[in-house]
Parts: sequence; C-alpha cells; structure tokens
Amino acid sequence: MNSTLVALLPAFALCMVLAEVKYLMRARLHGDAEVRAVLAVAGRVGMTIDRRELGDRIGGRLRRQGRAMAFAAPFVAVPGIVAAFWMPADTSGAVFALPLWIVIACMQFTESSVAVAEGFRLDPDRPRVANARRRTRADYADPVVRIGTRVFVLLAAAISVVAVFSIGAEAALLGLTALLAIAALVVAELLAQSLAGHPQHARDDDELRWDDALRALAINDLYVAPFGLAGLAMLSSGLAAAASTNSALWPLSFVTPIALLAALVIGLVRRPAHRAVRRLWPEAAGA
Amino acid sequence: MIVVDPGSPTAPYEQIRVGIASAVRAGDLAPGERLPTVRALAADLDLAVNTVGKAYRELERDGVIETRGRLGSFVIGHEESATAVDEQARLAASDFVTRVAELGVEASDALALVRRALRLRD
Repeated sequence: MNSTLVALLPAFALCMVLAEVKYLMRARLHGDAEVRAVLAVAGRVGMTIDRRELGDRIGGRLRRQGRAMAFAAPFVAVPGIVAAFWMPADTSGAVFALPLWIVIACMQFTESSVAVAEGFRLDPDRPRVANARRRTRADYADPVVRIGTRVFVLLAAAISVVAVFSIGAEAALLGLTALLAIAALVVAELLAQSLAGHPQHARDDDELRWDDALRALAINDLYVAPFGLAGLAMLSSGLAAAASTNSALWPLSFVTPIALLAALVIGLVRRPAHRAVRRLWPEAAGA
Repeated sequence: MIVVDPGSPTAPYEQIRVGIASAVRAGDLAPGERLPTVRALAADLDLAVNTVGKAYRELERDGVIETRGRLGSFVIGHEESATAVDEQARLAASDFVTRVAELGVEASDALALVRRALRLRD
C-alpha cells in the first residue's frame, strides 16, 4: 500500500463516519433538535417561520433529505476512493488533497440535488400553488457566485497551465486538478439549470417562498465544488511556483493566495441564498 | 401565483386560466414574459398535462397569451391584444363565475342575476 493511500484512507473513513452520523441525525430530527435545525436553515436564507405547521413541514423535508443522503453518502465516496488508489505514491503538496475534494464535490452535488428533489409534498385534497413565472438558474444563483466562480476557475486553469509547462513536477496532477475544476463547473451549471426547473410543490405562498429559498440555497451551494477544486489547483500551482528556482514564476505565488483570500471573503460576506429570496420575493423581504 | 383548490366547484383548468389572466391584468406578468411550460406547470400543481393544456388553449383563444412553437408560451402585450375590451369582459365574467361558485350559487340562478342586472342597467 502506498503512502498516499495510508494517509488518505483513514481520513476518508473518518469523513464518511462523520457524514453518516450527520445525515442519520438529520433523518431522526425531532423536538428541540428539529426546531434548532429549522431555525438554522431559516437563518441561512434570512427568513422567519410564523406558523408551527410550516416549521413541521420544513422539519419533515429535512428528515427526508437526511434519510436520502444517509443512503447515498457511501456510494458518493466511491470516486474519491478510486482517485486515492490512482494517486502516485509520492504525491506531495496541496494536490495531495485531491481525492478528498472529489468526495466533497460529489457529496455537494448529491446533497443539492436531494435538497431540491425531496421538496414539500402535496395532499391530493388540499389547495396547491405554483409560480406563474418561469424560474431559471439566474433567478436562484447569485450573479457574483455564478460569474465569480467562472472567473475563478478560468484563472485557476490559466495559472495551472503556466505551472504545468514551467515547473514540470507533478504536472499531470496539477493539470488534472484544473481539468476537474472545469468539469465541476460544467456539472454545477447544468445541475443548477436542471434543479431550477424541477417541479416545485407548495400548499400556499409561504411554502412556495420557502421552497424558493431552499432551492436558492441548494443551487448556490453547487458552486462550492468547482470553487474548491479551482482553489486547490491554484494553491498547488502557487506552492509549486514558490518552491521553483525560476524567479519569473514567483509572482504566481503572490497572486494565488490573494485571489483565494479575495474569493473566500466575498463568498463569506455575501449571503447568496438570502439575496436570491429578496430578489424573488421583494414584498416578503420588506415585511 | 396560481392557486388550484381541488375542493372548489370551479374546474382546475378554469382556476389556472383565471389565475394567469388575473396576474396579467394586475401587471404581475408583464407583456412578453415567458410562462412555465404546460408540463412544468402540470408537475408543479400535480395535475394532468391536459388540464393545464386546456387552460393555456383558453388563454390563447382569449388573446392573453401566445404560444411560439418550441419557444414556449408568452404573455401578449396589451397593444397586441386584438380585442382588449372583449378580453376585459371575458375576465370580468370569469371573475363573476368564480365568485358565484365560491358562494355556492347555481348556474341558472347566476344567469338570472346577470339578466336582472342587465335589465336594471337598461
């Protein structure tokens, strides 16, 4: 067994156990834990819950999502485990974390898909509502998140190309990381479009607003995967440039941490789902 | 927003038609705005595709929306509407039908009320 596997497999096992515990706990939400979980989601999307029934419906939705993710999580880890077996034994630097990031990306795509697919359920005899306006990806994904991630991924790819052709060391892994970031961006964009058009079930306008909010949260979270992989490509290229004897590459080692920090700060300061809700329901946001 | 109540005496397709027409009239749906596809709206409301299709056909006939092939259905601009007055009259009649249905008034009684109101005006 090579050293990469020796280090990565326990990390995988720990991550998977923690993820399973998290999803199983969510699948069994009740009482105070359910209230806390629902309020935590409400805080993320900047909304309030003024009816107990609505809180129960959101809690039920979170439970179903937890059950689905508890079942899916072990399968979602498979691409990362395959990547860990494939990694060269002497891999070093930030690119070492590539299999973990592959798992995180797959997990995020699955979690967002489940969050939208396991929406509210309709009763055959009760009223239901629908948006008269067609929703698209642009309605839910914050423009800064969507366009910012594209720019960030392209910047990471450009820096990786420079690093690959100039440094040579671990060139294949650097190039692969950048390619995976581009692939993750394509998947995120396609999934975002698909999830935006997924059937939206709601009993009343409150539920419709909440479904929009949870959908915005899920769709904006999709962009974490390409952002993370691009960040990894950028960080690996920056570290390789800093270690290089070629002084022409040193600016790369300054550019990469600055770009990463800037993107992280923007991502933390802006609340994309909150903004999407205010954009889609301005009258409710003002209330 | 379109509301469909399965318990209402008004047919679901009629509820959809009134919902969209009201949204257009209130300006919530602007001229040129794209509506959800028939399939998407049917999935959202958990109704048969034919039900939503019938509502869209009625709206098209009333000059409220137009279907541009595969591009989908769009709200027609007021200036493009061939008979704006006729459209308004249809909407008013539709609102009347919805209201009397909510009140549980029989169709024959509702028609008698309309006739009486028209006679009084004349």
